[in-house]
Amino acid sequence: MTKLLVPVTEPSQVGDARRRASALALNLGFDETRTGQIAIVASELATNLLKHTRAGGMLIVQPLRTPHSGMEILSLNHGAGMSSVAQALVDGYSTKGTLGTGLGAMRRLSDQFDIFSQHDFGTIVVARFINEKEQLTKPLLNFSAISMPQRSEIVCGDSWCYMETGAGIFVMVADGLGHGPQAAEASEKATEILKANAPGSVCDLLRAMHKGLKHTRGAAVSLAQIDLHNKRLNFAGLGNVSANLITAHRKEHLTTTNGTAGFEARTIREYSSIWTNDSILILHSDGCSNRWSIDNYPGIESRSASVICAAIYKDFSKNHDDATVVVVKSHSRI
Amino acid sequence: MDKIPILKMGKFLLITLQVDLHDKVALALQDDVSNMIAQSGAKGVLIDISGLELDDSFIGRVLGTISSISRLLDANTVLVGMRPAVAITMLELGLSLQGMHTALNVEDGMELLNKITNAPRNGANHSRNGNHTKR
Repeated sequence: MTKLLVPVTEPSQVGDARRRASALALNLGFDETRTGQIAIVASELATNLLKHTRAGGMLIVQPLRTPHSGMEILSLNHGAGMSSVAQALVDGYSTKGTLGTGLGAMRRLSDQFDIFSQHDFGTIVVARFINEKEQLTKPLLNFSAISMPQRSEIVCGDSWCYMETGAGIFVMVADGLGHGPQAAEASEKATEILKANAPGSVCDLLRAMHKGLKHTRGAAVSLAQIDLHNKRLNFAGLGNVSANLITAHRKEHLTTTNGTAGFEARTIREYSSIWTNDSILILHSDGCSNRWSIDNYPGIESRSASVICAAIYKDFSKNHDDATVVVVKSHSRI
Repeated sequence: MDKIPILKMGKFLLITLQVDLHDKVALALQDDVSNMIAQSGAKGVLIDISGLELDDSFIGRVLGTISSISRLLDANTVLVGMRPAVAITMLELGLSLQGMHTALNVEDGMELLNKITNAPRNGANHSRNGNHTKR
């Protein structure tokens, strides 16, 4: 399994980034021309990290699974930040004396592109490439996930799922106990059970997971159902996968009950909240600290789910555990 | 594969858990403790977990199992060195370790083990009713 993360701290890693992106693109069925363009974007993102920051940064090169089909490249760094993103996007502007077409070119080559930068936080750039042949309908919500294994593991013990059904959109994060292949087995089983049983009430689905995971080592699971029609979010969780609903700058921590699916589930309780066009649902496993606040990134709530996801992952993930961050919000009206 | 050493101290067993404990090693420990209690007739097991990291959620489950198995083999278990963050995680995951005793350090833990083991065996045996923390 290829590692999704490409550190970029010195020039030879630009080639790494380009090769990783090309390989993934070809694997996913993009044609040669498109693969070439994806490679250019990867290369440009990596070069920017070296050119504009002192410590470099990292790229995440990953496939996009349901609801999308394609891939994305995220660039994350802890630098000084850009003084003006808007200015930098205009062709011809450069702070380093180069042609200044980089960001604009990347935006033109990508299907979806987003950028967020803040003083003393750094910069996040997201470039998404959609496989038109495979993706027939636009997802109902803007969704992003970053899931990385513990530093010494190859397989991630966390699993996530986004599923659109006639009864709403189900979003789940499962964190298998411990880490490694057996943790992955537990969390993947939870995803399997969701796919096989949804739609249904979040409590019933969680109960099914508790039953179905009995022969595994168990997992903490948080499951949300977004009902766009009735503007409601229904939630149930077992264990310590953090679930948060942001509405108008208020961070509402959704309650989970103590337990582990497959091992201990004395109570399973459902909670219901309002879901509006401005709501943001953020789920993350305990490999990511819960100390983040959207208020520390002014303006980020109107950016894409990928940017929000990358910001929280960048600043709050701990690499001594599997870390997963999932963000869901309505498509922006821009 | 590293095996965790189990030390025998009189009628008790003493185990120290360090960080980065591999899951297979934890499961092997489960077997080893059971066998050793049976062979030696030990009446108590003291487990020092002060070296455990937050993310060892599976280890929490193994500890619960060791405690249950020990009880079936007529031995009590005392956990020593539980850190607050570890306690919170275990609670959130439903690993409440019911019936397992805790103490703040090894000396207190040994004292507690002695007390529980020497307690008169009657219907009001308090060690069966939940956790005891020796201050």
